[in-house]
Amino acid sequence: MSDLFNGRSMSEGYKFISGGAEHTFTFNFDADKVIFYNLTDWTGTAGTFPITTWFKDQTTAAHAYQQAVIDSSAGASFNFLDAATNGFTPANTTGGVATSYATITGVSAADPCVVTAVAHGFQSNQVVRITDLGSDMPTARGMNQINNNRYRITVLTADTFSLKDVTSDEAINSTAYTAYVSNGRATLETHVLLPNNPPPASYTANAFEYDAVEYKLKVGTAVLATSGDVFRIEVYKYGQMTDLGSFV
Amino acid sequence: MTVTTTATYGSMSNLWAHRALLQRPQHFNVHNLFGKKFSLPTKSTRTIGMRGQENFNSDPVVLSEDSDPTPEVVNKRDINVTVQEFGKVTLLSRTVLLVVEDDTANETADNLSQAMHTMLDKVTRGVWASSIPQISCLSGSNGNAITELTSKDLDRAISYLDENNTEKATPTIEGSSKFGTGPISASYWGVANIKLKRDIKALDSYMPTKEYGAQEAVLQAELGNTDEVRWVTSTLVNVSTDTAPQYSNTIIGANAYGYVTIDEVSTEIIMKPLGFNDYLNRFQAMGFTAWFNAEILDDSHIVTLLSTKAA
Repeated sequence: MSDLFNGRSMSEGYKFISGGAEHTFTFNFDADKVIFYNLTDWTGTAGTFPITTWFKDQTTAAHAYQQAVIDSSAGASFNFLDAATNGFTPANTTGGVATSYATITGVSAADPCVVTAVAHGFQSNQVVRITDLGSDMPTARGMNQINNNRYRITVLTADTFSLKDVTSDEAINSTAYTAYVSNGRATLETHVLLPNNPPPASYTANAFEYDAVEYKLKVGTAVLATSGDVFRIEVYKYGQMTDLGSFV
Repeated sequence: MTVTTTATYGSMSNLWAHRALLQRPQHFNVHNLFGKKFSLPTKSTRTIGMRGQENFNSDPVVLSEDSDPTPEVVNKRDINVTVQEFGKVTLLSRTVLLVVEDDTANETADNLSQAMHTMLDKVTRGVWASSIPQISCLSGSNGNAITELTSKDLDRAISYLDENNTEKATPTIEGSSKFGTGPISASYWGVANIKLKRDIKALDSYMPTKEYGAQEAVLQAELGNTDEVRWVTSTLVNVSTDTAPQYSNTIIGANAYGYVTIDEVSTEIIMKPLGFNDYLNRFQAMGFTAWFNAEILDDSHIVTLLSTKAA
């Protein structure tokens, strides 16, 4: 993704007041270096961190390279250290289209038929397609009667939903169906399908769009310190990074 | 402002410049091959709505003499697709245009055109990867949870399309009197990663394109035919990042997916001459914009057959 900015030297600045909790920042380009200045700690007491720096090539996740005040008196001295936790975590998104698949881990023989798919992310009244079940698999997976079919769903929990006939809207009674064995997939029919009217209030039917790449950095409490601390951020993209190799 | 200068694109006047490398390798694109094209009128909106009706219940209804049957409500399904603008721009310095041989701008335009088509193809394949029903290859022997492509697995994918009354995407290619050739049945299109060529060739009844009864309808990237699928291969087919990568091979029937543009201005290569935005005529801009989006129209008619590669 960084090739969008290949050869360009860029910088930008931000200011904000910390909430004392982890926060994910979104930048306008793929940064090589980000410096957090905690102005509140600039002349703070010993043990505070006025400057914290993140480099793109920083290999250890959640670390933060910090400058710590060890003597706040006149002629203050500082120390550099590596905060091993709650530091920086790169969080760029790749853009594109979010996938709409869920892996089935259970199907009940009941009325209504309830499908278990952990963290399915679907909404009630969406239409899903069930695949990868049935007796045609090398090892029978059960629930032949629902395989390859599409159903309108009612979301019961974050991990379960029940099935309804797409046309009649009647609940599917799977009591007499072949017993579920294992696996299976549920695929959201489309991201934008609007069900028959009126859609329930909870149904979000945004038009399909292709998501842009986002340049994000998750910043932990080792950097964002105390609620109310005043911050400035400098964000840099190098025009060129030349690897001079090892001088050893 | 990032400009292509002679520091990166300099003169070759000290060499006899051969143009061999200007034949750049190109991806095989499918975004406009197997899909239905839709176009929005200009000066209207960015979002197109498409409406279909669910089939009525066709269970036989015997009418009684003295009453009417219960009316059945028409069930609609709507798909909304918002066209988005994609684009890229590059700047050439006047020095490049003066110092480097004449065809720099022409080649850059060609390069941009290629980038545009590949970009739109990636959008289309992103849509495919997001919401096409998936069937796993499980009948192979390479030891992975998702196995290599086999005829049994392909049969299940074809059954999926057949069960959904999918129309074939290509007509029959008739046989001819040429020795070593044969007819090709009406088929679905199969789009597979180029790394699976050997796996496809190992499928039952594989026939390479050279043995088709007629060559007129053969696509540039077409590999051959197996029973009811004509295969094309491309480097752009989605591959997972698993240790044993999973390939999203997609079998496509008629009316399965579509792409939307805006009338007249759907894609444009735009060239601004020297001085388009500077006092001293020192920079030339070239780029493209494309108004585009894709969507699965009916997932009954398209299915992804997930496979790994044969051992």
